[in-house]
Amino acid sequence: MSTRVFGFITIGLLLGLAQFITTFAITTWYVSHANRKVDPLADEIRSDFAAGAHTDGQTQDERGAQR
Amino acid sequence: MSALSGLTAAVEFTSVGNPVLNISIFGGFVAVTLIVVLRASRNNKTAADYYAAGRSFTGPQNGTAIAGDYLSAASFLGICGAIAINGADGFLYSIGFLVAWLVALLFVAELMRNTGKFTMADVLSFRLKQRPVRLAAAATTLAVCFFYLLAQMAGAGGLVSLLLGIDEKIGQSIVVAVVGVLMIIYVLIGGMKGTTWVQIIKAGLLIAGAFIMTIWVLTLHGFNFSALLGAAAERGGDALLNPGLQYGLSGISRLDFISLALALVFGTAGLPHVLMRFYTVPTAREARRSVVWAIWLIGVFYLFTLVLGYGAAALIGKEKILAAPGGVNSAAPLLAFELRGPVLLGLISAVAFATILAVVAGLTITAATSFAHDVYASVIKKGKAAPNTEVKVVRITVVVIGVFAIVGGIRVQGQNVAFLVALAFAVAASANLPTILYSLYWKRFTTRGAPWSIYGGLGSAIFLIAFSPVVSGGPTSMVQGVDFHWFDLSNPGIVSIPLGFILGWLGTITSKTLENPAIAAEMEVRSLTGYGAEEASDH
Repeated sequence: MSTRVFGFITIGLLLGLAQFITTFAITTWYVSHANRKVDPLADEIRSDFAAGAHTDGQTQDERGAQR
Repeated sequence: MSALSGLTAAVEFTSVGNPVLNISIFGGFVAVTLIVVLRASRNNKTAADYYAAGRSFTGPQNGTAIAGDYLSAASFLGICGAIAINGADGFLYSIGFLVAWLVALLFVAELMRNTGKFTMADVLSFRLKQRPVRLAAAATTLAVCFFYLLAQMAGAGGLVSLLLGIDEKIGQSIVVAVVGVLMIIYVLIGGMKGTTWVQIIKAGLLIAGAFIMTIWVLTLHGFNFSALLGAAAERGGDALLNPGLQYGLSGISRLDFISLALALVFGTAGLPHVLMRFYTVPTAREARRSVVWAIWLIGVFYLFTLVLGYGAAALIGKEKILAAPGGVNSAAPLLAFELRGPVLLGLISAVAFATILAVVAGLTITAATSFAHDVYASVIKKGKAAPNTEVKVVRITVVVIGVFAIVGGIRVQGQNVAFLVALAFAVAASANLPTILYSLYWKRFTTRGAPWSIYGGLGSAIFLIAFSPVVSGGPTSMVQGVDFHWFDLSNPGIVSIPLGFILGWLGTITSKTLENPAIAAEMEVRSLTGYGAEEASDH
């Protein structure tokens, strides 16, 4: 961890900075995946429901009031 | 020799830093934010307006506000100081605080936004019995907010002695009271919308201030980070560059570090004031964009603090920082003074105060909302409270919490309560995150599992902290003179987080009553697609 890679930069510091890079990379990857793959599916299901394809005519709030 | 130079440094610092300038810059911030809060308050009519800003913020706006809410004075002054004193080990905090956001992004933010309305309890009680679950969720929300609030108020008191040269107890108490009263005014008048704008403005100032200082530090070292590290090592010794200065001393300190890291990484996505911010945007997609903005802003900010911390180590030196009033926390202000004299010091001081103010405002509105919405409206009035009375109750609660914070902040002055922030994260990780994940992802989860997990995680974290070296038996303990500690770690997370998860599972598999599968199915659809989710109000 304390080994110098170049100049005064140690392996430990590079590993720490690598965690910043992986965090940014995972964020970017997840968002592009969600925008491309997940959102269209969710939109489709939601519009199906809105069109009345699967409703049982009662929302959670109404049921909650009855409980 | 070093003690002498440290002493002169302290004297020089308090006499050269200009309190009048510091106060007028901070006064300017207060004036601008008050105008913004007053303008924002004109549309506060319904509960959704007051609690969730009408769900009208965009992802980038909310992401900036999240950064403003999350980057407390502890992460600015504290991390700069930790890096200046402990080198690479100080940087470990930044890594933990940043990486934690992946949990929020990948598992929590969007589903929370779709399922809930105003509070964390909305999600937990969606398909479980309302009263016991809401009561438990309100208990941990109030506990986390209270610990965090007390730490911030104590920090405000400590900051004045550092920045304004006020060492007397009475002066510090007045400053704590001023911060508390301003916080009450912001939250009372502005609600969530006003609080959000205060956080956005503060995040802008904080990140801009850190950026300017970073550029100056790098300019002095030819924009060569390795040269900056070399200068820091020359002044403070090679150990500053090598990991392990703070946490590598013994097996216990290594274990303590893992425990802290667990609390940071699992706690962030369970912090109630962070969770509540997800309700201020119109859709789950905007909630996702908020977290992305927050991750970039917070990540870049922590890279700045890495430069600033090593810059303080190189330009000021460890002894001078530790000898200054405020100790570790003085690294960033001292660096500002070293770089550009009293004006930059005044700016950075004002930003530090603005930081505390914005964070306490966010905590107060979260705690008050949880009490009014979960305890008053759902438990006391059993869901039959008129909407107007709920907003009235939230305003009264804001004042009560504000007064509590002022009194508490004055009482804990001079005591070492820095552990309260770590405790808040530990409770959020042990009590909040397990129940959130279980109720979102485990259909079998039952009404018995939620309170078991919440009270178990909350109780064990507080219990272990009470018998740890931060409370008694250590050189910097809160209570001096007696030693009743038997738990050697300063961070309870490594025990309390697994306990919270196990208790939630145990409570569920041992309960005979099953929850309604139809509501579970509805919750799944709603959380994943946003069908039936709360919509933005139109104005």
